[in-house]
Amino acid sequence: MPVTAPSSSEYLPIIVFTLVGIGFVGATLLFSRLIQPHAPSKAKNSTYECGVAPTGNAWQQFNPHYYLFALLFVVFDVEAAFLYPWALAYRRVGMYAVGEMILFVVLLGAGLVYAWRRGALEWE
Amino acid sequence: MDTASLLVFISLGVLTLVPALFVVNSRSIVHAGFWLLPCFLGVAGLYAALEAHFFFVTQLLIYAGAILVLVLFALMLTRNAMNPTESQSNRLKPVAALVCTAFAAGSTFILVKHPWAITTDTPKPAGVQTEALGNALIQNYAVPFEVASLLLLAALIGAIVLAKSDRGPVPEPAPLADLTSGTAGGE
Repeated sequence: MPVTAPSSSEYLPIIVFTLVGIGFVGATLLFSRLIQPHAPSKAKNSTYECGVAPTGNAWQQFNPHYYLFALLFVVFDVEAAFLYPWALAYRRVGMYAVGEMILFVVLLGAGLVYAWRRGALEWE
Repeated sequence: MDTASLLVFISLGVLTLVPALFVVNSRSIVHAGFWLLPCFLGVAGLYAALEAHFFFVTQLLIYAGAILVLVLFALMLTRNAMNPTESQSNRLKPVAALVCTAFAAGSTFILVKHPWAITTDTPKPAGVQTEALGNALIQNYAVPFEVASLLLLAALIGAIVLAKSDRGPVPEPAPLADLTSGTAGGE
């Protein structure tokens, strides 16, 4: 398997950045744990709800609409991912590539129009 | 494979497999959903280690970004999603373990025995790779490319039909919740 060492690839900055990010969060939490005074009370331990006493269970069923928006997001995220290799190949292939991408986008656009017409984009 | 590469490969494998184990073993389905994130990141890291740059970015964008959000939203729609008392396994666990071990042994045997064509070429830069992928998509695989768009369209319309099927004042979430969690698992 042609796995390359991290030192020989362009991913070194990403690795360093990830480690620094994790380290920063960890160090901040640890430091705050070390210097904070420890005096818990019932009010302090309750869930922070902008000063209002929290009621009910935090675990409740969400509006199915969220799922619809998440799925729309996935679909158009995948479309965007397809645009990158297309945009690079387009330089050589030309108008044929444009036609194909137009067909691709129009098919997905039809889905968006359908969602719009069904009122799926409106919040109830 | 030199020691540094082996170390990277092993740590990425651990980052992928250990969270995957938690995904199937977590008693709370929401925790299982969140454990998918390090698993997806591990897979992205494996793509990066193989210098498959486009797949690295796509894995982060689509799986760690979009699919995970979709899975979590689907979980939030289910009833009793936070039920930590239920065990995640049943009496078929030994049978499943046997089947999985047999499959793993068979795959390992094939991987080790097959005469893989090993290239000594260095991987191409990201732009060249992605352009080759684009060319393949547009010229050799134009029909699958457009069919992918149809598949996405079908998923879109299916979700709208499911979420908008009842226009009554009191929507009934239970059957929808089962269906949506089913689709999310199949993504």
